[in-house]
Amino acid sequence: MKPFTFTLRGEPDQRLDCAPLVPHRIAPLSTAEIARLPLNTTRQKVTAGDVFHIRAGDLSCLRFEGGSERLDNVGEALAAGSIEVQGQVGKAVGRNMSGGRLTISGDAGPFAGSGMSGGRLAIRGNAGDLLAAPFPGEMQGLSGGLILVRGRAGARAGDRMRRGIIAIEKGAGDYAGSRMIAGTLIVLGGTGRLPGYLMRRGSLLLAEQPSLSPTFVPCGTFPFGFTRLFADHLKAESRAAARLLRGSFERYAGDMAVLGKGEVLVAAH
Amino acid sequence: MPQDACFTEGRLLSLAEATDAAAGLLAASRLAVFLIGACDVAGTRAAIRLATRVGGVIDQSESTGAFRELDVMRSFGRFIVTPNEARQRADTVLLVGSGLTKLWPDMIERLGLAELPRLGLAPQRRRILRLGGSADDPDLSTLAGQTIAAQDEALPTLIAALRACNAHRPLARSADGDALNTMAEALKQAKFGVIVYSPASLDALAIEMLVGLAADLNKATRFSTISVGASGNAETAMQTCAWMTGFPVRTGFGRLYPEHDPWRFDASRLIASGEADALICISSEPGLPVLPPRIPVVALSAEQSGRTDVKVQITIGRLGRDHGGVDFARETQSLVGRRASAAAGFPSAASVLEQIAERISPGAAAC
Repeated sequence: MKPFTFTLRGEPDQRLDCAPLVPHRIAPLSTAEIARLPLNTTRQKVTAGDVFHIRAGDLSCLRFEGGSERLDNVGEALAAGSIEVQGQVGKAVGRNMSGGRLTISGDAGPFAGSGMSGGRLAIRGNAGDLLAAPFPGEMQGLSGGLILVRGRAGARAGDRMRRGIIAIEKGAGDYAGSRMIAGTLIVLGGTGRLPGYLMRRGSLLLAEQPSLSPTFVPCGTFPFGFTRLFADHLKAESRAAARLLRGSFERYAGDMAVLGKGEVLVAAH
Repeated sequence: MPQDACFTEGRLLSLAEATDAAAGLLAASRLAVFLIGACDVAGTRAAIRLATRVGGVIDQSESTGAFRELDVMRSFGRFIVTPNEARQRADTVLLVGSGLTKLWPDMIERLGLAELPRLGLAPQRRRILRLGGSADDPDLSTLAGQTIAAQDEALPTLIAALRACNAHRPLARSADGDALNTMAEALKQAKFGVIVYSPASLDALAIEMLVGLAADLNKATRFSTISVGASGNAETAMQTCAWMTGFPVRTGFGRLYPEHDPWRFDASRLIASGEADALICISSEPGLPVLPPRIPVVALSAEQSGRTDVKVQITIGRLGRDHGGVDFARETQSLVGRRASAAAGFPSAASVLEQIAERISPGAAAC
């Protein structure tokens, strides 16, 4: 069966809250009812039918044809099924997602994968700042699932993450893995300044030598058993990450300013 | 009211005509941004009520720095002491970063850095320590017992290293361990220590690290922090918005209920992205922020800007001169009342905003 398709009619003139357009929320509705769902974030009323040309199909498999930097909260609380966006998305794609597959062919805005606890989020373009980070005032970031970014990520990727895997293939901004509690963040390409700042536990695997805080203490260069196991696990998702994980790493323990039980593993060349 | 107080595109208006023009502009807007500069509590309340009515967004011109503090407060917590308490009790003061006396010119006097603490357990000269900001202020350099010189860019690593030294954890060889250990030892000797810093020279993570250092020190002694942040204006707007809506500024009313989102409702982002289609600037002090060329601007300011990019200009009075009111004072870290000293007849921001609101009925406002 063909996917249920939303084709963007044109660039929206306000930010849109696309949170209602997920399989479990539209499943009980008719196509006409879906078209009447309000998406506006200003007092100018806008419905799904105003913004998208809607074609009925398999409700567990949604497709957005055309994207915009103004489409916020795409795939919010996705629990099962799949969503594919052919284009870019705005803030907080995959927010509070717990299962299913969410694929973005373009760039994503800030807070992609925020509050995510399961499922698979793949961004083929770049991700904005605060990838998988908690919203202001929330206490934890990513708590499960897999996030793949084929391009670059902005500052503070994986902030306060406590479980799950993030792989970024073309580099990350400043403070990658800041305040990490646990989990694994892999960055191919360069990182900005001070990756792992304030991390308590967790693993940050980097392909290139970073500018680390002196509170990361070198522990030597080793071939790690777990990274090779990890490589097999990740092979199907990111071949570049799997290739990195098969090599040896120089290990830095930190952040000694806090608990010091985290590690930054830098590929040994 | 003086005759030359209101303008539209260079033409003189009466206050009633000006508020009519402003109301028309706001009523026709899809998303109006209310950018508050210096404004008392009553004016801020009136701005929030008007924003509620027209589905607008409230932001404050110095909120970027204020959010660095607030992000730490709401995701980690903070130790805060008032300047008065610090002056009375602090026996050790750690000054972090550059430009502290530039941001707060009477800091040395207000904190009594050169004086003995009156309520110290054993009165003795305060121990002043400096981390960064060595050359920019000779007065502080004279007072400081130990200085670790550094540019502001190096502060995040220095603070982290100092915190690791305080916890007796190892450091990489690149750090100056001896100087940092000496400073960490001095902090531990404090009976009542205070860390003074500015969000202008630190980002949110570095502030969290610094507050974490204060938290670690509190396991064995008393330590707290003072932020030499934005003027009291940001705090006035933050607190007023918090008690009216439950959220600080960067709160929007587009969906008729308050939504707080520091990224989405950042005034400069809204203007740059073209999402906002009207801007209302409110400042009871002279000067207006840099304004965008593309969208209509209503300016309520204490002096005529004479600028042609302002669609409607209404001159308002200054707090403490033309009208009394309440605002947040950094010196006391509290709200203070101020009396009018020499009223020149200019209306307050609150009264102008209320007159604009009266001209917009909630039902008719929807565009």
